[in-house]
Amino acid sequence: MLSTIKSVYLNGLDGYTVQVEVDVSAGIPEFDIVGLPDESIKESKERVSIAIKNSGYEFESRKIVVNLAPASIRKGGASIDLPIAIGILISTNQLKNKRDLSKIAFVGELSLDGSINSVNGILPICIEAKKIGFDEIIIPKANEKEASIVKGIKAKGVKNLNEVISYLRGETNIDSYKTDWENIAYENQKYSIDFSDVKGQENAKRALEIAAAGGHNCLLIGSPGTGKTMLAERLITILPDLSYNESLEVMKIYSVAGLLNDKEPIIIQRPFRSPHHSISPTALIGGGRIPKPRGD
Amino acid sequence: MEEGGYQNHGEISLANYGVLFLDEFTEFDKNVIEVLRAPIEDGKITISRVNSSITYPSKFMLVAAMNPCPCGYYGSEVRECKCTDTLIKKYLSKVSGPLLDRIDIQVEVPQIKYEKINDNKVETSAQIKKRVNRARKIQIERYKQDNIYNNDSLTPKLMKKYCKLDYDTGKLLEKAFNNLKLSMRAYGRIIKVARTIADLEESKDIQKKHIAEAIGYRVLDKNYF
Repeated sequence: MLSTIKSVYLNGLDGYTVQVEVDVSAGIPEFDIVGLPDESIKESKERVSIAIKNSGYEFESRKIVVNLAPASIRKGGASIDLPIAIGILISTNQLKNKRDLSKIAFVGELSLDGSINSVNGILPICIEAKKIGFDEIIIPKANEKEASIVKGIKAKGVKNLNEVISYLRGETNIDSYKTDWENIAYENQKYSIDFSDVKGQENAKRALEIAAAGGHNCLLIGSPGTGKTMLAERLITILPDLSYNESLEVMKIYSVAGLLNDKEPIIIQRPFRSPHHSISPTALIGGGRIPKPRGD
Repeated sequence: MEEGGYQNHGEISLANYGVLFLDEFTEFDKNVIEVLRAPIEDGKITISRVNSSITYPSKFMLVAAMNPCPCGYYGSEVRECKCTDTLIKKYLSKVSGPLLDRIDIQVEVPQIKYEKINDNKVETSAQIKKRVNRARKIQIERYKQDNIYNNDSLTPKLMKKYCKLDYDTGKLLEKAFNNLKLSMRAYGRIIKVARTIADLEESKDIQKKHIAEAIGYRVLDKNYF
């Protein structure tokens, strides 16, 4: 039997729908994934089959083919584990689905015991899922705070495969986590440094004030020990507050890079990066061999 | 993860909507700082490899700090500089003209006088931030239809709309343009800085003094470079 489960996959910061088509038929037992998967997706065969077994279901030895459409785009990472597992359970008639699968996206990495591990880039995935038109997205529990920042889509955090199964059977409901964006206090920003630490230098301070207000580039020239570094480091204490839209843009990048804190995923401070001068061009502008988001 | 590429986000993307601070600017490899040229101008970076190309935003504010010469005391009033002319030229040439042209505000940080050390009438960050926030709010309000958040992101078309100069102010800028041999880009950037100075004063129009101050932040590259 054929089943189709939807997922959202990121290419850079742009997301697109991946249709996970699973077909289980009689024939020589095999398990194959097609649709330009890379090595990390090929490994998901082992994770999926063992996770299904350890969740109390049978992984039947029949001919199983999984197709990831669109088949022309290369995909990597483990976030497609969950939709593959759900597809196999539906195709083998072990899961009678009662929900509208065309409106739900599934994202998550499986562990061998059937629990669902967090993935990077949940924030942009949810933003893109909302843009594509999904009503709901099933995500790892550990990512739910981060996902709740996005307005207009129900992000449901799940701990393990069994929770997803009983939800799809209509036996349980999953509440989505809520973040009250308006109540996140900007006043919480406390610094141990202050512009009043630097005596004199009114000209440079004025220049930095203008730069901060308009976002202009700035160059400080001076003899050693005059306070150039001190001044620049204190710039963060006078930068304007991040707006919601700007904050979302900042968090998208940090989410894909896997740099968001699971407990406190919201960034309300403007980033301040000061790389050492031994940095390479690649580390400065980005890109490795394949410029894809980390671990996704 | 893909082979060989675990660092995929550059510092410039992580500094999006924030600050990229490059201390000891001249110590960076020349090819490292020159790659900044395009992202500074475009606000985004496109990385192309054999099988894919990806664009990340990079709307950062570059802040660089450097010494004026290898010994550090060229132009200083307190200590004598021991560098030869050629040495200084070589040192400063690490910052190229095209890059310098993209830096709107260039300012000297001199040695301070002893009397200043015990000066307690210094503004705190909170006081400055208040003014900065107010100026930024004015910008966000003004550009809410235009999908930009600050003066630095103004396009030439938007500048025509929001940065009108009166006759006198235009004349002043013309004089500076000719005398300082400014580039067309520097011209635009001076107006953007003047717009910010006017916003800090909550002035609706860009006045002569705003342009004059903005030009003042441009002359450094003629003194040193």
